[in-house]
Amino acid sequence: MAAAQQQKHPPRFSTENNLGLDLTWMNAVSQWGTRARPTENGLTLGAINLGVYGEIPEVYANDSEMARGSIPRPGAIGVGNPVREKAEVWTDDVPDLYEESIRRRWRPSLDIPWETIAPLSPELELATAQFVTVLSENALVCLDVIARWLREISYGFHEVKLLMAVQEFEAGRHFEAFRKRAVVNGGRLGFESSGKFLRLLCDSKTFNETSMLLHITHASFARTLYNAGAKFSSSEGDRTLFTLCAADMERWLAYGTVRLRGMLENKPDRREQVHSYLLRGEIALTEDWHRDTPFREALAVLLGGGLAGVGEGLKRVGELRSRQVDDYLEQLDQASLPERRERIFPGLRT
Amino acid sequence: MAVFPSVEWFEALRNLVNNDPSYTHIGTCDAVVGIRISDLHRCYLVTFEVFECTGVREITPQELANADFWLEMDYAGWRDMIENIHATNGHPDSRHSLNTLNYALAQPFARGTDGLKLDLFYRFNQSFQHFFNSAAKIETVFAEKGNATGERSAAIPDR
Repeated sequence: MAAAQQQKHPPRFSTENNLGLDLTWMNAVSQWGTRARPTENGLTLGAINLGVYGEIPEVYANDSEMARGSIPRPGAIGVGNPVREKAEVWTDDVPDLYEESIRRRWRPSLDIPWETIAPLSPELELATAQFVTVLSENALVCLDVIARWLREISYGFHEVKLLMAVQEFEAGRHFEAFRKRAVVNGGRLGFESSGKFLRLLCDSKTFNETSMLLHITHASFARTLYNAGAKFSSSEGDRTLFTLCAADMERWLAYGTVRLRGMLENKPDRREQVHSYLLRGEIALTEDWHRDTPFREALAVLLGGGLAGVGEGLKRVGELRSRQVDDYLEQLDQASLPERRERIFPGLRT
Repeated sequence: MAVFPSVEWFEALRNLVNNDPSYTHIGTCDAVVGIRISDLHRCYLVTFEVFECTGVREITPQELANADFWLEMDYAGWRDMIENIHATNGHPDSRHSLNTLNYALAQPFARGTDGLKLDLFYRFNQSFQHFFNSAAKIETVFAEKGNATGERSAAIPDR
């Protein structure tokens, strides 16, 4: 954080006047003389967190719409944002992740070379369409889940609100891009997903639960899937699509992982609760995996290079599933939950 | 014309991306990336800051620990990737993108000791891919005896 460049007291003004003006607001004590300076990345959110504006409270006591650092107005009506604790939402790299997300945004309409997506055999196009239909649906539900929490997070943590607003936009972008992919090459939209995990995500009751399921479980499994998509893609357009989506997921993971690690440091008594949330997610993912025959078989066709290779494809689907689980456990290692390796729902691997 | 691997070769890529608006368009990239040509025992450190590649230098294998992560293949693998980038005019096929190589090789292509820093490989993947794709714009000379079978070049001494 940049060094504070301010003084505590603004100049005093006389409030005496014959116009009936109050003017006492001009003498309210706050921070004065703040001169934020652009960094090499421009005038970033982090760069304006100077002095008291950069002091992130453990609990944001003000319950009105007042953003952190403003001067409270007596009598302001409370809005009751339930997420008010720093340990629940904050990581020090939230401002930088927000800036990175903004700067690395992409446009599905223009930044994917759609014209490079060459005709595929009907079976591969059908499988691709089924694959991206599910990915598209997942992204749309994530958009809704994030939107719900934007309102719930206290105004004291505006950086988190901004980051999640960008994540909401990213989820929308993924929905848009995958939907476009489904219909750009002679295919169609496929079957809807099994949806068990998505329902769990929608029904999560606390931000902690939502963030673990969204920013770690979902983001990790999706990231690995997108990277696999980039691998089996035969065109630059498809590769670009999956690679860009994977990069977005990586930022979700960066937030979710460091947030969870910080929360466990501050609230070690939550550890068992965290395992409960993760277990529920793992069970839902397992149910989805077994119930979602179109998705699983579409993956086998894609990884096998067509129906003729679907036997080999099934074997590769198993390998991909193992990789998803390994990557997920690796992420939890980074979040200081190495014991999850011993406690993971056994069905998740099969 | 630049010899791969050499500081001059990476410098040529650095100059290309620093004067390429389409690299800037991808977005900011902040990462220190190690490059390791394993069988030649040659290592380089490439620094990306904001919209630029700000530095390239040769390092010892021990100094790879200073990188956020490093990319590692044998000489044959690197040569194969660069030749494909040349052959496709900067649009490598599905077997030669950085992302695919990371999944296809027996050993991970992207490696590191800190998982969160290793994730930068994926977060900034498009920028790194653009960096290497710029190799299509320079004439690369491969060491005389190095070839796609992984034979070590006599022109490049061990470190």
